[in-house]
Amino acid sequence: MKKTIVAFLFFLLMISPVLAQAQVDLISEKKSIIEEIAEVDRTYKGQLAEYRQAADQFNIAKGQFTKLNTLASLEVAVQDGRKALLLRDRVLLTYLKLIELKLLESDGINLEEKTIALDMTKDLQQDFQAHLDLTNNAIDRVAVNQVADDFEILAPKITSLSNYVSTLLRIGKLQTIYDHSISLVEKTNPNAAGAEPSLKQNEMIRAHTEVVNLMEKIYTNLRYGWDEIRVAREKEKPIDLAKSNASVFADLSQTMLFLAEIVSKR
Amino acid sequence: MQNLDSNQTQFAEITPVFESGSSSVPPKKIQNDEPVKKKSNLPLLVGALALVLAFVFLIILISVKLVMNTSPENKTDDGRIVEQNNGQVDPLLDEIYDLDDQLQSSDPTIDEIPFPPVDMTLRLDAPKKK
Repeated sequence: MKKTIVAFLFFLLMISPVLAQAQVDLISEKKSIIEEIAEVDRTYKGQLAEYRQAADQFNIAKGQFTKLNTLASLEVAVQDGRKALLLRDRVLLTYLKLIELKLLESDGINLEEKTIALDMTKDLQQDFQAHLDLTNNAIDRVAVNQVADDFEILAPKITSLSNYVSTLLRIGKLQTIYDHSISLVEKTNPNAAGAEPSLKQNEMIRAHTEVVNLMEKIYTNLRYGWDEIRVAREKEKPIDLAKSNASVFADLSQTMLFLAEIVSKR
Repeated sequence: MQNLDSNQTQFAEITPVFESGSSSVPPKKIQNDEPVKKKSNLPLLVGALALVLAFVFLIILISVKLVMNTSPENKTDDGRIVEQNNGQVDPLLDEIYDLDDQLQSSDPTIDEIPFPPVDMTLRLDAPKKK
């Protein structure tokens, strides 16, 4: 008996750092993604500023070439053009990395859509990396025009992906809040076991029913949103969930107000 | 006069002490019929177990707290946190307001990462007509 207890104590002492580490790992993982997002975001903003400067410089050089039409002005325009195209690829590549991290960080996104969006983002990152390498090697007028032509294939892909991911992130956030509010609605349920008896029991029940109805409406709108996203992705059409998202947002705000009122009155 | 031994002092008697007949009796060994009860270590072990459990719990708590770096803030400025009679914030109400804050930062009309404002038609020469 004594040996067993001592062994158990020893085991607990040994395992306590492991248990603590497991908890810490879970939180650290999330924290590291958030930190990575902040870092990539800083890089993205810096690169965007650099691109803008290069694009302005290129437009000036292009204007000069059109006006002067000399070999010297052509050379300046080609080199400035190459630089602007290179920086544009770089900033778009960082943007893709940023949306990839945002997708990873987001909890509320439907798993199937999340996996598809992540795969699409990674594929497009590869395409942009390849294009960036080509642009880097383009040193003359023909080559610079060629990489500009090649970009026209990538442009619709990235705008479409951006629209898709942006929609996922928006609805994902609302979904996360809806999921959390379910437990709050449960906790404020006056019929729940363990709920404190109140003089205003009937009033509380009616108030709670109102909240439940709102939650059902939100659920229906969220389901509609996810269905719309799937259909739009399959048909490769742009998605616009502005109306249903606005409705979910307003109903969630109302739910929070009602819940706060119920809790205050208890 | 007594005959003195050459090794003896003059104050000593000739007869050795142990031979004088006044020998002391050795103490009798006390025999106890009842065996001595061994003290139980169980309360001590239970105490130690409780101590270790408390230690484990403390380690987990400290680790989590350190990572989360949470500092209990009293959001009294906006007047939204209602204090109970005993001066404590209702945890459920706190939870609701936290979620509401989260909701306000999730406004779907605001694009969190808008598409970069880059010129997608940037080029030197006009594209060839196909």
